[in-house]
Amino acid sequence: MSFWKIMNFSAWALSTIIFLWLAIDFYKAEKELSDKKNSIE
Amino acid sequence: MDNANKKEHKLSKVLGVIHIWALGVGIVLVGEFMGWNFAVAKGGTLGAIIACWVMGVLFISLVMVNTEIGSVIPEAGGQYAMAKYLLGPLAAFNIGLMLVFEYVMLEAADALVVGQILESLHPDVQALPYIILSLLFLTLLNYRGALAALSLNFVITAIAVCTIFILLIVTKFYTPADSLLNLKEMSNGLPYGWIGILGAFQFGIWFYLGIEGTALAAEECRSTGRSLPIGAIVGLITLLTGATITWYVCSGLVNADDLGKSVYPLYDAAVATKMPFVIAALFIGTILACLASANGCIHDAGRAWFSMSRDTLIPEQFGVLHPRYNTPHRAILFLLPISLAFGFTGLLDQVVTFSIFSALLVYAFTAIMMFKFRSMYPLGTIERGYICPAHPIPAIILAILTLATFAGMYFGYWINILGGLTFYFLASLWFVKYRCKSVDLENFITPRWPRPKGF
Repeated sequence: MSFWKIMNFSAWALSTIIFLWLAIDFYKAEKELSDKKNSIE
Repeated sequence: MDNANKKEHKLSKVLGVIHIWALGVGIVLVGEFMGWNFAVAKGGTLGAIIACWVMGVLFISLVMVNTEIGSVIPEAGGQYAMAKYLLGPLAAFNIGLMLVFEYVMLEAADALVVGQILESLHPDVQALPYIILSLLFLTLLNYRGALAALSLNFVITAIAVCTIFILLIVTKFYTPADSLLNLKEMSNGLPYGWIGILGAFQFGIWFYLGIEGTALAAEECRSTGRSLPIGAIVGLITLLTGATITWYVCSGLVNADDLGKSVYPLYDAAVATKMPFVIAALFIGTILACLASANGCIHDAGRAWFSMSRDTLIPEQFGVLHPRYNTPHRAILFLLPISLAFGFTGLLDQVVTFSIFSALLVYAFTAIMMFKFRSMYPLGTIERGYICPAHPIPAIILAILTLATFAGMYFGYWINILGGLTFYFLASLWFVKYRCKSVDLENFITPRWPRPKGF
């Protein structure tokens, strides 16, 4: 496998990690917001 | 959303002058690394520099008009906030939408260019993973907070600006006998006359397009009255200087015919020096300028979408802040797939043209707002932080030059103009038919806003 193919694969892998991080954090943030709203109500 | 709720949805005040400079120059600087040179194809070497300076006058007028109205409007949001107070909900909705599309399209174009540049390195390099990675990485930074995102923007923008100066210095412009620059042989003057200059306007605007986005960060400034005008004016001076140097170096190193067709003019000028260090510096500079621009665009598009939602012009779900980072996380994430979708199309020129078209519409509305503002609040009736000198000349210049740029755009992209107008017309129809009744007009503008003359 050439250097550039490894770089392409790394870019895909890094993108997946960032996407998963954003998705998990977004879920947590929405849960926090919903808990806050419920506690106020 | 009532005013008490609006206070709970305030962004953190963390930004200073350098961040505003980085935001303004960062968004725009990419236009010096690419795009502006099509002005050479339209109007020749001389036509390009005339377009560059005439567009500089347009943006100086825009900054003067913006600063006067902005110093009175009691909330942040740039032209969007001005439209709220001066033109009403429908115009505010349209201007907000134009700002969002100006930045989302530019963001997609920047990511496309990053992919294309890297692809040019080797046949095995794929553009797509790098387009997606750059958009996701910058979205992550903005999602975590504006301070980190714009601090990074300051560093990468400063490096990109330095690479332009490196290129200038290595040409030995200061000693005509040894200089690499050969303007006499390389330039082609004004081959198409004044009509060529008109055609060059839409590409000359690349040198400055987006600087007005600094106003969208006003709410996040520690001292808005100081950071915003200083950051924007120093930014405009940086761009005027950078634009002139870029034109001078590129026109002296690259033949006018090749320059008019080049995808990366500054990089091609670096290649013409045959110095490996300079070529590497400009390669890095071009990528950094694209990343800085995309980063600033994600920031501004997110803020504009968030402000529209907070004002109930679009569904209120986007007007919520992240519980820990205090950023408009829903707005930022919502706009990511839209930008990615435009990135996937690969239609760089169409994407950029829609961005420029949206920006020009905002400038046209800004000129109208200045006349409305002066008639609603004549001098002496309201306290102003800044008075635009020689009114109405700057507003007239702004209106005339915006119309001239539209005319230049019409020659090559009339279908895009028609498509853009249809899009905003349909969006307005949707707003009037379905959304207008949901707008909370009671709390749309602050009650402290004074009544206009003759109310």
